[in-house]
Amino acid sequence: MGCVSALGIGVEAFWRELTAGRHGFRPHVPEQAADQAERLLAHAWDYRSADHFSDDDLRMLDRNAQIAIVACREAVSSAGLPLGPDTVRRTAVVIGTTIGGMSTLDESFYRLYGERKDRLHPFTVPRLITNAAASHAAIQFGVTGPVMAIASACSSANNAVGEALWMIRAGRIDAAIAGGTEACLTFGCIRAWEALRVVARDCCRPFSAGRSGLVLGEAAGIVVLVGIWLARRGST
Amino acid sequence: MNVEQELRAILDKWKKDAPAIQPSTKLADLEIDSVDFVEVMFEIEERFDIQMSQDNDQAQSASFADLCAWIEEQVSAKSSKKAKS
Repeated sequence: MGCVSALGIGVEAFWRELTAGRHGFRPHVPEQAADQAERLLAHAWDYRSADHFSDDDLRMLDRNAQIAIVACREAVSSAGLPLGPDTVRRTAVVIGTTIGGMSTLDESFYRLYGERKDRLHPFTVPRLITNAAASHAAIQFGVTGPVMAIASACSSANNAVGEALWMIRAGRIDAAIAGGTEACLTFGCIRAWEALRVVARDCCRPFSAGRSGLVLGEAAGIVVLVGIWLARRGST
Repeated sequence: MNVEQELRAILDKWKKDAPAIQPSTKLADLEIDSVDFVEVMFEIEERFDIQMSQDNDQAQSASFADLCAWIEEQVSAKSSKKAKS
């Protein structure tokens, strides 16, 4: 497993904080917020792109894909997934995300409509498309099996893991790097959710009788799934 | 700094170990990979505030002198348009 979340970088930090009963929500004024009002958000507070990627890598990676790749690295490493020439063809990357590279889209639109510039960076599309996280993770690990994104709102990550599982059961692949990523805490996206009137006034309390809505956050969570025949070879 | 000097400064930054740029040097000879090449074109457009209408293949097969001429033509067309308005 691998993850990047408001509770820290990595599964160990996530589990330690979670089992201590701590959540990652904090009051925060979003960048570019015209009203300068604090919102309760769950940014991946400890995440710094320069800790994980070179400037050259970052040209192509929206935050959405960055945190996914960091989580993939941890998952692949902790699973001991063999990614050699004979296994990469039978390995899939399936990553759920609903919005994709929202920061890139937001910055690009601001440049066009706000600053009235007439050209966009040439890597705008590879950064913002929904399958960017899955594709860049596949490039990183040399995976040449099925590579795709699943976009099904809040169930995207679960569906991604489910589809990867069925690909293994169907015999199409032997292993999968699967999970979800989302990093869309731009002011525009936050305002869009607020317009829907579903953002909690206090905190996120699912299934509580007194709940008042959802709280927005960003995170990536990845698992490695391995077919029993590959697992029995003792490599994972 | 004129167009030639500014363009040379941009290309020198991207060309890594390729030989020194001559007027006849083709951009394809600068050993800039295809991903970097679109960034080079973007940087040129940003620096001179112009739109390069050439596609990647046309630009790759152009010489440094050709590229200077294209840029100068566009910069001058833009200045005369501005002067008229």
